[in-house]
Amino acid sequence: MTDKAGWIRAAVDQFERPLITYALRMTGELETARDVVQDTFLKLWLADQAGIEDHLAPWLYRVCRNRALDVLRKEGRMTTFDDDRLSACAPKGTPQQDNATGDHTLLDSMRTLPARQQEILRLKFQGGLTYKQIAEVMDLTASNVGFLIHTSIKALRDQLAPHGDQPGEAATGAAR
Amino acid sequence: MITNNDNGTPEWDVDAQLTAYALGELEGDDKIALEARLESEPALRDQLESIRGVTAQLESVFATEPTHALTSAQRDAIEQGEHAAPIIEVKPNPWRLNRWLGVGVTAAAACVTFILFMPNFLSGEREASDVAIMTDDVADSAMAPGSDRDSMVGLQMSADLESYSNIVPGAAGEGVTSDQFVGVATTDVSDSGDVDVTGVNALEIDIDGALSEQGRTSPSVFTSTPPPSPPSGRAAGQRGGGSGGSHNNFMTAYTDEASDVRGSSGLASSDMRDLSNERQKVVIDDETREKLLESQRRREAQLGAAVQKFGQETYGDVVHNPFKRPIGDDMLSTVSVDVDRASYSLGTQMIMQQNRIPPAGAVRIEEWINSFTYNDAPPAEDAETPFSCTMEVNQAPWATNHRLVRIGLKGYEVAADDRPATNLVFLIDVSGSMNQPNKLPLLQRSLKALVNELTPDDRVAMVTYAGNAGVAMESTFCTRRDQIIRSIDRLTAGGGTNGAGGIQLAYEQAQKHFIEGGINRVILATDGDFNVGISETEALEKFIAEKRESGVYLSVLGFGTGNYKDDKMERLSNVGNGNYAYINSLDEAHEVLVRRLSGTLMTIAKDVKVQIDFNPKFVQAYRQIGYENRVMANADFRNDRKDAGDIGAGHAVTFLYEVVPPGVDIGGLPEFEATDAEPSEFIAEAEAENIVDSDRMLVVRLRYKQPDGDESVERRFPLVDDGRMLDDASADFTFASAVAAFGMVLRESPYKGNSSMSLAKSLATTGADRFGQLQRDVENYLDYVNASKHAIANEIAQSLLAEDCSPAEFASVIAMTETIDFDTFTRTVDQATANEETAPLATMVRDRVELGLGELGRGLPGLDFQPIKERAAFVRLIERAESLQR
Repeated sequence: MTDKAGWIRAAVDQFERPLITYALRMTGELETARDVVQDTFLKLWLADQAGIEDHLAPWLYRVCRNRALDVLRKEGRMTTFDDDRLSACAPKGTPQQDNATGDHTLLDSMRTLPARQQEILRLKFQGGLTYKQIAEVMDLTASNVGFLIHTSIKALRDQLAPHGDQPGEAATGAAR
Repeated sequence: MITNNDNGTPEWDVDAQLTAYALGELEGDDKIALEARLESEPALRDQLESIRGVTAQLESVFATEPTHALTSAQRDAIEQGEHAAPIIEVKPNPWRLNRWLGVGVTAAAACVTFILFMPNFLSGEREASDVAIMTDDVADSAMAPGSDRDSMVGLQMSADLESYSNIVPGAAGEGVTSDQFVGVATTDVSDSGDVDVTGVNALEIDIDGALSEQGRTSPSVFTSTPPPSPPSGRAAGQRGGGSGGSHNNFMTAYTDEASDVRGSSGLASSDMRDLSNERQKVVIDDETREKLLESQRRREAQLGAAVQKFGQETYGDVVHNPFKRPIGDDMLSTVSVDVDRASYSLGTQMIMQQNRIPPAGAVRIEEWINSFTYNDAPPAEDAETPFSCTMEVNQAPWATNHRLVRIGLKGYEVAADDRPATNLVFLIDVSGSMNQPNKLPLLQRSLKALVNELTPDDRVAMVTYAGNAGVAMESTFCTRRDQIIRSIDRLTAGGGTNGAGGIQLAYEQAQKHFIEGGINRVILATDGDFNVGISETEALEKFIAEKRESGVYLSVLGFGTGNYKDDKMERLSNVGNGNYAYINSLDEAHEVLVRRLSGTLMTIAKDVKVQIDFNPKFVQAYRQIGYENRVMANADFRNDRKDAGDIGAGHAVTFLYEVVPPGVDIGGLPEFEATDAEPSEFIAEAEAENIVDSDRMLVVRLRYKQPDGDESVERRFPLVDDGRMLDDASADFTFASAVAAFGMVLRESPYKGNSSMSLAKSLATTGADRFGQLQRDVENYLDYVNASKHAIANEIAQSLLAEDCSPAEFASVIAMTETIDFDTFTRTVDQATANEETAPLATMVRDRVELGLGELGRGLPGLDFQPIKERAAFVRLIERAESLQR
């Protein structure tokens, strides 16, 4: 096995699940999502390893995203980045987690956000990307990403407010 | 929405900072300042806790989501990928891509090599001067040189191609309810420009049948995207022939339209919302319907043909200029100039990025031919005429017993410093559909590039339209360029489409700051949404034409696809004495708004008309190639009230005429095959007697007005056919014929003769072969630069994004700016400017690059790669089109 093959294998191990979840969110179909992610990893063969190694995560998300949009476009399911359309493409009936009531409420609230904001939240909290990396993935500026994250978290806070926050428990979550 | 707290900082700004802080994204002084405030303000601490509560929950929500792995077959496929062909995007020359990506050059190495390569290459070019026919022209030409930043459409290697909309054919044969019919028709009446246009198209199908003699679209062109299949309604319309005025035809046409709109409903959700809102209100009585129909028929008559329609995009007719005998009125051929290049830019976009052959109606051959740089000399400085006229006649490559005449007009050049003071108003579409990477963000960069070219005497205002029209920026002198740039940066897309008054507001701005003797121009930038305040096309054209008389002209910049109204944009710019450009990349923006800016802004001759007087002694029949929608009545040549196209500073216009010499059989030509070949003996005799004995094959008559004049000036240029054969053709002649051949193939012209993609390619490269070694050097150079661009852009991206980026690294970045890919680079620099730490250096880099862009735009004396690069790109375009057709 060449070095590159080892590198790609490691990338698959690390990123296949979050990428499939991400692609699934965009395409709404598991099989399509898997195909998209397969294509994404195949592109690594064409890429310059040294060139992308230290920003592999945003690179993969970006390629994955563009590939998913390509597929959607080819299938005629969308022509624009219209937030409404992206929402409409969201998977229906994704099994929800009922382990925590709070999460469930939050999940509901999150679904009311524009698709783009949902996508950014996913990249941030599931992908663990920084503002700058998200900006790279989504073709925005980092400040724009910051603003959108702030906007969506503000909206979630406002929606959750009547049910009460859990500040004590939360404090650990974001400490870095 | 924004309230200020005691510190004068907008409240949402603090909240955004808190969010960034909670996520570990806040750094430097901001972080310190915020921490200090947190110490002293309990309310802020609560706010922070609330934010952290949500972020923690979000993390747990995402962490507990079910996940999926790839199948083992997929994993195997990925691991085998080393040996598999690239399956992702099919490129025309995958070997090129692999070869260069495989090189893996580091930024520094690439940069050094490039510097070494460059002088070597330049001297190579000079050495070639004794063999290259064109070298004299190249050396003499003071035109702008190619910059390596110019668009190399053939080598789009980036993995992250911008997203472009695909066209989805209308849902043919779907049942259409009366409800839908009403909905669509109403929108039409209720002043929606877009639907109005498509409504016309549907009607124009009627006339299509009547035009069959002149050739029609063949669906077989559309290999990648089939056109909307005609539902039965359309067929009924065609049976109606040219009479198309009956109630029934109207109904079927609109029913057809309704199904189209419905078929693409998923694509244009905003349109659909509009429709459903309007649906309630409608009732059209017969009288209104008749009126509508009548007005549409009038307009159709002006257009002279059917219009092709793809989803929501519309393109022009597919009429082909026929062969004519030089008898009677047909002894003269009169046409207006056209210097636009939008059709080529759009076609390139479709072929290279969307992998589809452009619909025939989108290929205006004259714009393709005029997209290239030719070596015609500009007029002498003391010349009376503001443009030169160069002519050449040789064999028509697609029918070698025919002759082909090339007529090239070339306007004088104007340096930026000599340009009169300029008063610009940008009228910008900020509707929701502009919210795509290849629309508003590209528009913003394009405008910034333009503003950087303007001089302190120039001024700019900005008017936006979408939900509401508004003045985004009052007219501002370019001494305050920073302020203008900031205003451009602030533009955001969003909002509905019920705006009013955008265009009036723009013209008000233009007139308020009118510069006497200067350039006064409104520049409309849109992706096809024409809800600028006047929705009736006729009224809009009338309005623009009136304003033209007051000295304010209109130019149109088109962006994106999916909702594109190519034909309408072209017409508006024609009415407004303006240019029409399609901007698909920053490179194209640079071409139109920097390199050709003087030409884009400054008209040096207006209402330029060309009339060719053919000598029957040498011309049995002739036809003009392209310019189908620019043909004028012969009598209008001397009618100075008749508007025609304009020529801007440095603009070049090429006309091609195919001529059948006497004695050559014309029986196979579409015009003549069905008729008796023998004309009336009286006409023949009368002609023979009256032919003046002249060696001239034809005389070109040119008529134009000075930019501020009302009286036309007329000039004449005779041409004698010296019987040359293709081997002796100039590179410009051969290349223009290559573009014409390719254009005729794409347009499915019945006159294409032996034209084929391979003929076009061989002509394009035959012309190039005359450059000898030079051409091969250039090819290598282009390959090299392109590969380097990406490698270097990649390196730059990394160094800019690196947390610990040092000034030294930035210095190396600056040194490398000669060879980078602009789209990637600009994006990267934008990101870096948004980061406070890297902002000062990033701003410096950006300024340096923009300065460099400007310098390149003005040109380096004595060197011109532009024609070679454009031609190399054209060859790649043909290659890609060939691969798409297979």
